[in-house]
Amino acid sequence: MRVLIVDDDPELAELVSRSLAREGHAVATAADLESARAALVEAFDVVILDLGLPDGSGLELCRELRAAGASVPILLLTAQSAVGERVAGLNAGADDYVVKPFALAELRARVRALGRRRESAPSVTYRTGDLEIDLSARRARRLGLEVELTPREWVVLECLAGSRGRVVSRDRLLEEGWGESSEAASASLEVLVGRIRRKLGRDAIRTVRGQGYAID
Amino acid sequence: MPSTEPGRPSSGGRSLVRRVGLVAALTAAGASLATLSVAMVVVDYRVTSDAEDDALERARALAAELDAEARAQQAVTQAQLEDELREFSHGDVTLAVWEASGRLAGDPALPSPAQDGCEASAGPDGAWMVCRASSASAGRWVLVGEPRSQLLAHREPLLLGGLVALIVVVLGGIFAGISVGRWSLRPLVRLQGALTAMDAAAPQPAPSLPRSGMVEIDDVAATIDDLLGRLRVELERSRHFAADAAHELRTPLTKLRTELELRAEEHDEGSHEGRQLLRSVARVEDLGELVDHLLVLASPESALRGASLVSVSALVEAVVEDLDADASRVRLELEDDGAVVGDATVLSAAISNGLGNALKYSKGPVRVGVQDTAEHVVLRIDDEGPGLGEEARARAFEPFYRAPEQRGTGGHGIGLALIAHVVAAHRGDAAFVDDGPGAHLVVRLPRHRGVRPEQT
Repeated sequence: MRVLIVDDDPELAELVSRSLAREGHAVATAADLESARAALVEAFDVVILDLGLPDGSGLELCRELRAAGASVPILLLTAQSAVGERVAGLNAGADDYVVKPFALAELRARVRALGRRRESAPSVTYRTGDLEIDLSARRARRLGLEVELTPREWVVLECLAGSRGRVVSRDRLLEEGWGESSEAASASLEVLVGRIRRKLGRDAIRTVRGQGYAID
Repeated sequence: MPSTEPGRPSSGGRSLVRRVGLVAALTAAGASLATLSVAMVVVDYRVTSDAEDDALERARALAAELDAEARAQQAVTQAQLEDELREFSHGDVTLAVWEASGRLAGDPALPSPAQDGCEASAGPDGAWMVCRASSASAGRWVLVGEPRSQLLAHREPLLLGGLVALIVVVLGGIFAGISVGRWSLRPLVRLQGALTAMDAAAPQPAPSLPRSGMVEIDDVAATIDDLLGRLRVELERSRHFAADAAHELRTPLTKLRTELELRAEEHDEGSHEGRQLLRSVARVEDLGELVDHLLVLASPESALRGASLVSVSALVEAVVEDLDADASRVRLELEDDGAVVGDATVLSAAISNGLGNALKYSKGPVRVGVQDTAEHVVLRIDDEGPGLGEEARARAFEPFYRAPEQRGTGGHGIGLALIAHVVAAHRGDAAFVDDGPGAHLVVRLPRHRGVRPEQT
């Protein structure tokens, strides 16, 4: 995959690019908004974007890209764990975020997941009962209140919502969310579905015995 | 902030209203007592002089009669004299007739002064008011007198009336004093109300306190406003400092961590070098968490509140999932979803701290329960460790507090303070309860009423 890293800290950009290069990705770096715009003339599979840049906020670039109709997945690097910051990033069109200091494994997993999602990005907004889910903006509301879901919970939810009304097999959910179908991942999937139900209500996801899960 | 109902003094304190009322009542009582005393003196004088006038008049009349009889050379017998005296007596007034050789008739108790006129004179049985008038022709003199005790008895109804008036004035004084106290302290009470209603975490811009138009009170309000303004600036500065410091620390920590992880990958996981590098990564991870927690502690409550619908049970599950090795010691008893409105990230940090604390001090199993009650979502973390003493239970939530028996066991001493801060921001409460061996942390958060516990 081709990855663009936009970060004004050359050391950090270098470290991240080294770690991604080790996974076989082709990495380019940009230190500010201007050079990022110049670099984005070419096609990238994932953009890793730092929020604080010398000539403006990463959110600006986010909005520009989305306004221009670019669908390239954007992963935000944020130094703030405050809700406002994350929501603002996702609202500006970012697909995911990691909070500094992040674990390398997590960053790589997010980049992989974003690259995969590119092929099958569903853009659905649906409403059932007191639930309101906007998949493209990754926002869920229940009883008019924001509900926070983790990136992995979103992957599972998107996958189910993408084939609404039909049963999605456990294997496919495991492949999308974990990239493997080990026993441990299988147990995690069950816990994860349980957690989504706690957040969105019991009826949000239906279990189909022996086959998988479905959203009606 | 200890909030006190406006206008009502907190328990144990002295009340200014009561003091003003008391002073006013005492002043009123003193003034009316003085008035009453003066009135008594005046009345005393008037009663005495009236009685003297009356007595003298009687004495002179009788003396004139005796004069007339003497001029007519009438012989007056003892009995006739007594009759005449009776005729002239009145109430407590008694009379006597004397001549140079001694008393002729009448009251023997009456003392006889040397000259005509009225005077106070001591008799054999008490003080008397006595008036004397002489009949020159008869060579006799008439005494008309009254015991002073009888005389003063006349003013008794007056004294009684005065006392009633005094009581009325004192009671009225207390009432009026308290009313005046209340009335004059009303601007102060209003000021207190405004101060109580103020949110310490997010104070309004100055001038935030209402002005009453009373110079003295407005001076106090202005001083408080000024003080609050300066405190606000200081608070902002320290918050910014904490936030900036945390942000500044994140980038070098990220670099350090990434570098260590990359190096660790170059080594075999089982090698000595590789294990050391992974330990260093874990340490950097801890540092990152500490920075996060300091940032939360430095944030005002309003910034931590959040407005998302959060399931406490889901947060507990996610926290336990991240525990790795210790997860096997955790027993989950998540009876309900535990729906609350808040910020998932900071609530999660609080739960993680509570659970981490229990796992650190207890080597046995740790039970985590979530249960909905009518008003609250109750999160309970029970361990089988040494527990906390009474003092430690009370002080456990203070920042950097370490129970004596826990010193030297590692940790930063901010975990429980973070819980208290986060829980307070969500308008809940946290406490260690005394419930048998081990430590028992009970956190209560206001339950979101829109979501009823669902049956599975």
